[in-house]
Amino acid sequence: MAATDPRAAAFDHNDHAMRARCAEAYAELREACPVFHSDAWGGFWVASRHEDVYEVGRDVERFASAPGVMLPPVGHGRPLLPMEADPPEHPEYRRLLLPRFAPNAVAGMEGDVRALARGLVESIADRGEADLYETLCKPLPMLLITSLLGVERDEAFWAWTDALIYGRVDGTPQAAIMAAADSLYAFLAEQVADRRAHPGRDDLISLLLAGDVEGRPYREDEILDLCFFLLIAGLENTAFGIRATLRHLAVEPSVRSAVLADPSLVHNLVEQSLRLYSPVTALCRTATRDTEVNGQPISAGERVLLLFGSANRDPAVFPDADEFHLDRRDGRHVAFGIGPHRCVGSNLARLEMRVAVEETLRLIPDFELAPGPDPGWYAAGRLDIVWDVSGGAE
Amino acid sequence: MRVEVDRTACVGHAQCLAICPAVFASDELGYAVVVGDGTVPPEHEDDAQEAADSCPEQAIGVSR
Repeated sequence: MAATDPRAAAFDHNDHAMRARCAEAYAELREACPVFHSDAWGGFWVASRHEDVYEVGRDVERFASAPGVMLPPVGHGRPLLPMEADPPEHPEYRRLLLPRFAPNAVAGMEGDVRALARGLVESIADRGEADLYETLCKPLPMLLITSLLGVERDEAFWAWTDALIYGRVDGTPQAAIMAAADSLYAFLAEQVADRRAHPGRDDLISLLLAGDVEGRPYREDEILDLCFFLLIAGLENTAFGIRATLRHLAVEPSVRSAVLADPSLVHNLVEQSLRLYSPVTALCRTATRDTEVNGQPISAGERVLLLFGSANRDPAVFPDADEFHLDRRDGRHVAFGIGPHRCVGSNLARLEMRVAVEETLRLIPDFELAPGPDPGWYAAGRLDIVWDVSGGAE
Repeated sequence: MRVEVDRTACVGHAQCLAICPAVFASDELGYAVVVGDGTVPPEHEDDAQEAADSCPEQAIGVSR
């Protein structure tokens, strides 16, 4: 495939048909045209090899995020903070959030996460069939992030978030996307006002009120943008990751048996799932000046897509990269991104994925996909499974 | 075996703490520091190497 190949020109990382056969699609791109141009979404360059994703992701001087990293953008006219910020603001936003999502802080949340997951699994354990996406994958991150933000759980969040995340690629009218964003911002503005009236709480919104950028307190719009993205960032992506991992266990009984026999393997299970079924397939940067990536000239102002899903299957870094290796951690995967913008909540996402698996296997150790076509890992949506409940409890 | 963290490269992903908390800790801002003088107890060498290999910024130096 040459850089002018029509398959490259038509490349769209959001295309489910492409993602369903991404092992082959990504391999072709990495080998034949590692940095190529797509005409989709107004045109952008794509970095498909691990080394190039690594280089671009870490160089925040040459490649900016403030112009927007979502392709296509959410289109609600506000930045997703801290993801869509550059220095000097960006490290200042992170400085506030990092301690709250550090491994030791997240470890302290395990009991709460497990209680939530256990309750969700217990509610279906005697049914013998369930859609795990609606009963576990979606509600667990929602219950958790609303708890961290100190807001009441509200089913309207999902409608708003679905419109914002999926609406931009599935043809939802722009007016509906804007309405969802407006509703969410209005809700958050009420919450911020409440925290100002009642200071001293321990939730994330209260934390943001104390933030500053080099001594300047956060503006109201910064607080709202940070709240907005803290709320939505961990919902769909975490649900996707939990779903892909549970689906893998449903279709690979040998993997499920191995994890049941040696529960410590759940860590590798989560890492391999993240690597092969990366919830965030790609994010983009914008060149701040004329430059090049792996010999390909890039002009100032052009966008470069970091194809995390392909970098995570790059055999230059991961031997037998398209295989699920339960005996490997493969810690250099970039499922959470790379560089200063790498996901702040990665430790929490991992915890949710691990605990969701553990609590599922505890009560439903033997399950398989419900009859019918395999729903696949690459699209959010139903994950119908069945299991035997005739044996009685021991 | 000794490890050191390049403070100019660390951006606080804290993966080293998650993998090998016996050798790595975080400062008050969430950036990685080594415990003690960076000498790795023999029983933690595998985990310390794994932490270095897994650092997203490749900010951990290992010497033997």
